[in-house]
Order: sequence, then structure tokens, then C-alpha cells
Amino acid sequence: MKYIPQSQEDLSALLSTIGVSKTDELFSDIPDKYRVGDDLGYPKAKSELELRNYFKEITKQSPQPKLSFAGCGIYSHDIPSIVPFLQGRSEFATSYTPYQPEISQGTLQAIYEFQSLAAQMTETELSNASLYDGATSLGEAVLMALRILKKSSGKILLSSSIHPNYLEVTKTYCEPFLDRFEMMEIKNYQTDLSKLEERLAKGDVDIFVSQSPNLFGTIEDYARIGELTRKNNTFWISSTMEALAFGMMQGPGKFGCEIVTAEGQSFGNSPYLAGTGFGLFCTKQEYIRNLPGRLVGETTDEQGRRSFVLTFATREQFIRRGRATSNICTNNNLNMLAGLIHLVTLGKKGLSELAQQNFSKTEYLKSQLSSMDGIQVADTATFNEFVVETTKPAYELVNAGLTQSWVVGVDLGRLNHQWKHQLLIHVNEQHSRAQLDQLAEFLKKAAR
Amino acid sequence: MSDAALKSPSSRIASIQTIEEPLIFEKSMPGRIGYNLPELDVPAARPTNWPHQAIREEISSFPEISENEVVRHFTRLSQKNYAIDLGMYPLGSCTMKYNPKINEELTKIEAFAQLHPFWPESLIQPALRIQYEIQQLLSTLTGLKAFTLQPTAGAHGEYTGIKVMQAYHRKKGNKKTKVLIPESAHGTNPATCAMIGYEIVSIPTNPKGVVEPADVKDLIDDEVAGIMMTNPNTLGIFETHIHEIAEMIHAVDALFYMDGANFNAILGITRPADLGVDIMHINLHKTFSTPHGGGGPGAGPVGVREDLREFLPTPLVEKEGDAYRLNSKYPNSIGRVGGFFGNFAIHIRALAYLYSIGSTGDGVNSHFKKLSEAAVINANYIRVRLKDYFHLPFDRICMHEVLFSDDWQQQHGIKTNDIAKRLMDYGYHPMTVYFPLVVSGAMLVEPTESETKENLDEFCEAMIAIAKECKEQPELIQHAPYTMFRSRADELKAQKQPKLRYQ
Repeated sequence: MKYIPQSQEDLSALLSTIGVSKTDELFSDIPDKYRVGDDLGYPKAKSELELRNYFKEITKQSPQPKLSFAGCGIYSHDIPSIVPFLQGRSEFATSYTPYQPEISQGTLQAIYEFQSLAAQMTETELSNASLYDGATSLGEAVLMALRILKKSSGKILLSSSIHPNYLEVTKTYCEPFLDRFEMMEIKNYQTDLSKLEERLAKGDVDIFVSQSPNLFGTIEDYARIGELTRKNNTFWISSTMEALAFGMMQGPGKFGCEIVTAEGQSFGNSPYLAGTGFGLFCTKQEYIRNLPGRLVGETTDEQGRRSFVLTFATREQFIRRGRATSNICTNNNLNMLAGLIHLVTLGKKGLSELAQQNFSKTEYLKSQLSSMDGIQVADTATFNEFVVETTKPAYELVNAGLTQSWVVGVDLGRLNHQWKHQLLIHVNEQHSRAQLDQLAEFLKKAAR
Repeated sequence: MSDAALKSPSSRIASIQTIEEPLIFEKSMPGRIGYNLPELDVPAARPTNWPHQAIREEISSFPEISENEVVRHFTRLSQKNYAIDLGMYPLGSCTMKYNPKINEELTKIEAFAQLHPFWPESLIQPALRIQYEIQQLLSTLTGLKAFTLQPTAGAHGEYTGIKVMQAYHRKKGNKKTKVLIPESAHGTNPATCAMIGYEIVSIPTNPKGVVEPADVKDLIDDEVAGIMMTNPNTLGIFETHIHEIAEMIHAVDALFYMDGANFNAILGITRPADLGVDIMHINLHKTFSTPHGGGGPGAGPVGVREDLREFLPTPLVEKEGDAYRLNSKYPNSIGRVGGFFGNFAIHIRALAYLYSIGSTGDGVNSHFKKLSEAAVINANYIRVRLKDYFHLPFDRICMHEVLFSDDWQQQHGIKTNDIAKRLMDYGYHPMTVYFPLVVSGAMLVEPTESETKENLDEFCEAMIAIAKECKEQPELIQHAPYTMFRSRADELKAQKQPKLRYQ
């Protein structure tokens, strides 16, 4: 077994120094009756060559679509080659959490740079080192707001335009407070602002939660939501699933949002079944002691040189245990690192150009789909994802697409039965004009 | 080289690993580009129908860097890190074992990278198969029948497991308010229970380093929802009375949660389910070799006994005939704990590892057992070689990690932190320090099975040399390290004058 380097001779030498004659003596604390035998029923070990073949076989378990327009929370983008190249460096990948700053300055400086970029993107005062993903960031944000407000009665109002998976996670996290949850109605694929105004004016809403772009790809009117929450002294939390939108869309912090959360996967990470996420978590300086997760700060070493360290650790579980702000002890660091490298590579110009390309291609497809039988493009402000209302159930269009190995979008009926005539289409920089034309052509036929 | 040559121009004279690397923002120059896109092949659109104030032209503070400079920046940063691939990383309870490279190669397969969570089930069969097979293999190793791979970290697994415990009691109408946790537990254990709303009752550790059934008996009543134990515990000792404790817990209809952080010591030797465990999380990034990534992503699958399956987060990955499917039809499920299906990119690596170990050709379970044995032998070797130099709070055979303290060095004014910092000068990442909390000045050393005898000897010699330095030149140790990119950082200042971003 190549992952155990010790030879039989080595082991014998070690045992003799330890002073036991048999390995078994080291396990004498485990009563015999609880030992497993030699017939565990575990499959035979595979060599590297066998592993390669085996995994190749696994990839054949499904056909690979030729074209995909699926988004709905996870987005495929073109990733610069330097991202996986640098992310894969052993010094980043095979290191531990940087609790010992002198020997971990690389990771610490990278986190500090990420915190800076995340705060700039979301227009907030500070960012933590990231959390698991966008959905758990939202759940943690509501818990943090409850800690800050210390009230026990007011309502927690959530817009119905938030992705149902995000809502589910938030409900799991906030289960003891579910009796205070209330859903805010939507109108034309976004939060109904006049109803929101009325609702907040009643004065019993402590926290308002919104998402932009929301489940339907719609850009919510954050300037207005900011006015309303400020006027009514409501604590406002925001979520974003497609963080690339920040390349064109103002950060929620600009409008007074107290906690800004987002899924970071779009930057630097391929979809991997949504298994490469990292959650952005940004807020105001005054809330720093209530923040969940890791935080890196700048300081100096004994010689006065700039150094980076994990800081405000007294919030965290390894110090405060049962009174910590959260049990979290990771920041999905390597995914965050890929995101950081991607963001830095894009830079000021690239980020805005990439966002503009996504937007322009999306608008192009929308224009190609207008005035088609059986299809109505929802009339809302969007970024790189939009809803088409279909006369046929949306799943029929999805199934029709599958016959030619295309994923034409996400049938929102999968998330909620009342949206079974809504197809969500995501467009990004990788889609060529010709492919967008082909999709339009296909939908024209299939939707009738 | 002469002193003069070393001094001028002073800021550029350094070994390449220690050269100063500015912040990325300080490297920014107007007009530099690191990325190019194809020319836009559709008309450029303007967001005319957006709420006017929502539109942003550009983020003016974002850096502008050329591609080569980005590569150098991050390569140089990487060189300011220690890593498993550079040397022994003996962090106790972290299981910093070798991270096989074939796992990385297989994870890069494009057909896995592009899998999308909202593709129809027929298109994500490879992912479901990988998750299903991991569930099966973990089930074989633990004896627990049902698994979820949704939790994305160990603490996330704990959260999931304790929610399952709560859901079980709710369904039965049990009034349960508290969870028993040994003092030696990871901080995440009490933090998890607090998040869920359970009161925490601390169990003392007996002089032998284990939980005494009599102590549990004193604390048990009908309001106990369960117990949360790490086994082997964080002192590196197997909880001998675990089965007896499990029986006591079950007698009041409470559940036994095992924190699997230290599972690496008992693979193929004993199965948690046989010990009376009902719920357990496993750290794929510890026991099953996926990289720690400087702090994640990890993965914390949770296994439960069959009758608790209905409480696991949905959807569950199941197999029906030849097809793998997602099943959400569990009305008593605790709901989603993460946005989608867990850290799938980590799952691929873990499956590669699970198959790399396996049994021998004739089906004999020997590889996992050998692996755990090697991890335990390595730890005991360090224990024996260092026991005359550092105090052993529990002077007995240990499992996969060994606990020392700074008791003997205190007389020279040396603390655990000093020893840890000096170890860096000898070319090692320090061991886990000041944990577990039950031992003052704790130093927890876990070599894992990955180290050769020579590596262990070199490490022990470094520790012995440090023990000598503590006696003879304590002031030297108090200001270590000297050879790192940075000397000791002023952590107090970081908190008193917070600077958390570039401005």
C-alpha cells in the first residue's frame, strides 16, 4: 500500500523502541468483541491505472450536454488558465488554517486581499474570509441580525423572490425563530414594493431579507428598498447568487444594507454540481464582534514589518466554545482563493467588460425571443438570466432540448409547482451569437 | 558575500522565498490587463430598463495587473506558506496526511467540472454515483446504514447530526433539553449544540484520560437528548467504556453522537456502530486525504443508523435498479443544510482515496487496518522518544496522536507557544497548541501514517534539541522564530487597531 511508507522492518524497529512486541498491544483499549474481522466486505484496492479507468467509466454514466443554459444559482464561466494552475500549488492546497501566522503569510495575505475586494464589490466596510456558500451565508446573516437586535418579537420578513434553496437553508438555520418568519409578496418577478412599504410601515418588522438578482434573474430596486428599510428602522440583509452582477450593479452596501451575502462560485470555480462554492459575508464595522467566521487583519511583527494574522478570534468556537458567534471553522479557502485570483486577473476593466458581455448576450437572446408564439419574455430588468413564460409546461421544453443534448434552461416548476410555466434561461460569455440564434430557433419550434 | 553587498540595495537582497511581496493593490498600474475576452459578437447593450441608481460603471478601487504579475504574486505568496508537500505537519486532531495527486487529476476531469445542479437527473448520474458509492463505502467502515454528503465541513456535519438528534426527539414527543459533552471536546461541539438551542453539560475527564461511566451516570436524566463524544478522544486515547456509556444513553432514549475527527486511528479495526454510536460525522479532509486548502473546503458527511434515515437532509442520494436518484420524499427531514449537494469536488477526491486503500485481492480487510496501525505506531514512537524531554499528562499507550505539555519547560520561563514557534526554525509546522483545554499548555502531536521512520527521528531530534535550548538558552526560544518570512506577529495590535482591508 503506497500510502503507508513504513516497511515491515521500519515497523518492527518502531515497535521495539515503543516496547511492545505486537501491534495489537497498542489497541488493547478496544475490547475484542468490538473488533471487526478480516471480512469487512470492502472492495479490492485499485491502482492508479485502475482508478483512471474506473472514473472514466463513471463519466459515461450520463451523456454530456453539448450546450447548457442552466443557471439558477450556479453559473459556468470561462476561467483563466492561471486560476487552477495557481490554486493547485501545493503550498496553498496542502496547508492548514493559518493559525500560526509566521509560517502562513501566503494564505493570510491572500485572505486579506480577498476581504478587500469583497468589501469593494459589495460596497461595505468589511468582509470576513468567506463562509461555506451563498445559502449558508444567508442563514448565518439572519442569525447574526438576531444577535445584534436582541429583540424577541418582531417579524423576519423575506421576499418570495429569494431562491427556494436559500430559503430552506435559512429556515433550517433559524428554526427556533420560525414563528417570526413572514413571506413578502412578489409582483412581476420582484418584491412588491408598494406592499413592502405598507408592511414595513406597521412597525413590527425587525429584519427584511431580499435577493438581487433574485431567483428570476431580476435586479431588485435596492435604492427604494434602502429608503424603506432606513425609514422604518428595519435591519436589511441581502443575498446575491450571481456575484458577477457586481461588475455592473452597485453593491447593496451603497444603499445602507447591513449585511451583504453572496455566492462566490462564479469567480474562479467551475460548477461541479455546486460543490465548489464559497459564501461572501460583508457588513459594517460596528457589527464586527457579532460576525461569524474567520477574519484576517493587518499588524506588525517584532521587527515592525507588515504581517497578517487571524484576528477577533474571541468570537470563534475554538476560544468561546458554547458562546461563539457560530460553530464554523472553515472559509472554503481554496475556492475563495480561485475566486480571488480570477477577480485580480479580471481587474477593474475585465470585471466590468465580462459583466457587460454577459448582459449584452442576454439582451440579445431576449430580443431574439420576442414576439414568438408560445413564449413571452418576462419584462423585468435582468443581468445574465431571465424568465420566459411558456404556454406549454416548461419541463416539456427542457425535455425537448434533451433530445438533442441541450439543456435549454431550468424549469422553475421543479422548485415550485406554481412556476411550472416559467423557464429560467442563463446566458454567459461562453455562448456565441450562433448558439443563441440556434436556441431561439429551437424554442420557436418547440414552444408552439 | 560582504556585509556591504548584503546591505545595498537592502530591500532587494533576500532569498527568493523571503522577498517582500506587496499587496496586489500596491502592484496595480493603470491600463494593465490580465485577461482578454473574445470580441463581443452581439450588439453592446445598455441597462436602460434597470433602476437608474443600480447601475455601476466600474469598481474604481479594483487593481489592474498583467497576467505575468498575477502569476508571480500568487507564486510568491504560496512560498510564504508551509505545506504537507514541504514536510511533516504534525497538527494534532487535524490528520495532515499525504494528499495523493491522482485524486487531483481525477477531480480535474471536465465532465465532472461542468456538472450542473439543475441539469435533469439523467445528466448528473456520474455525480450521484460518486456520492452513492462514498455512502456505501463509509457505511462499510462505520457500520452506520444511511449517509448524507450535504454537509460541507466537520462542524457543518456536527450541526446536521445534532439537528437529526433533535428531529428524532421531536417526532417521539420527547422533552429533551441538554447534551452531554466531555471537557476535552473540540470547541465546535458545544458551539454546535448552542446554535441548535441545547444546553451543554460538561463531563469531566478521569485521571486516565477517558470518560468514566460513573460520571455520565451522575449527569444522566430524562432531559438528556444525547451525548457527543470524540473517539479516540482529543487526548489521543480510546474511550474504553464507550459501549457501556452508549447503553446508559440509550436507556433514557437519548442518542450517541460520535465526532469522527479522529477516525483515522480505528479504520478497519472497529466500527462506530458496533460501539453503540447512532450518529457520526466524518471529515473527508482528515481521514480520507482531501487537501485542507489552507482552511477548506472540506466535507463532513453524516452517517446514522437505519431508523434515523428519515431525518437526514434532503435530497438523499439513492439507487433504483441501475439508476441513481435524488429522493426528497422524507417529510420528517431536517431540511436543507447547504445550498445544493455538498462539496462535490471534495467527494471525487475522497472516492479516489477510498478505492485506493480497499482490501487485498482475496477480500481480506487489511489495508485500512494497516493504515490505522501505522498511524498509531508512529504516534507511540514519538511518545516514547520524547517522554524524557516533555511532560506526558497521560503516560500510557496512545492512539494516533500524543499529548505533551509544557509543564517541565515552565521552570525556564518557556511556554508551549514558544516551543511551537521554535519548531518552525527546525523546518516544521508546529503541533496543535493549547488544545485540548483540559491540559494546561497542551501540545498535541499527530504524525499520521504518512511519515517514514527517518522523518519521525528528525522531528524527535528537533524536539529534543528544543528541550535542551529551553534549559540552556530560554531567551532564544522566547523570540523564535528567526528563519521565517516574519517573526512573531503582534496579535493584540491587530485587534486594538483593526485594519481588515486595503484602503
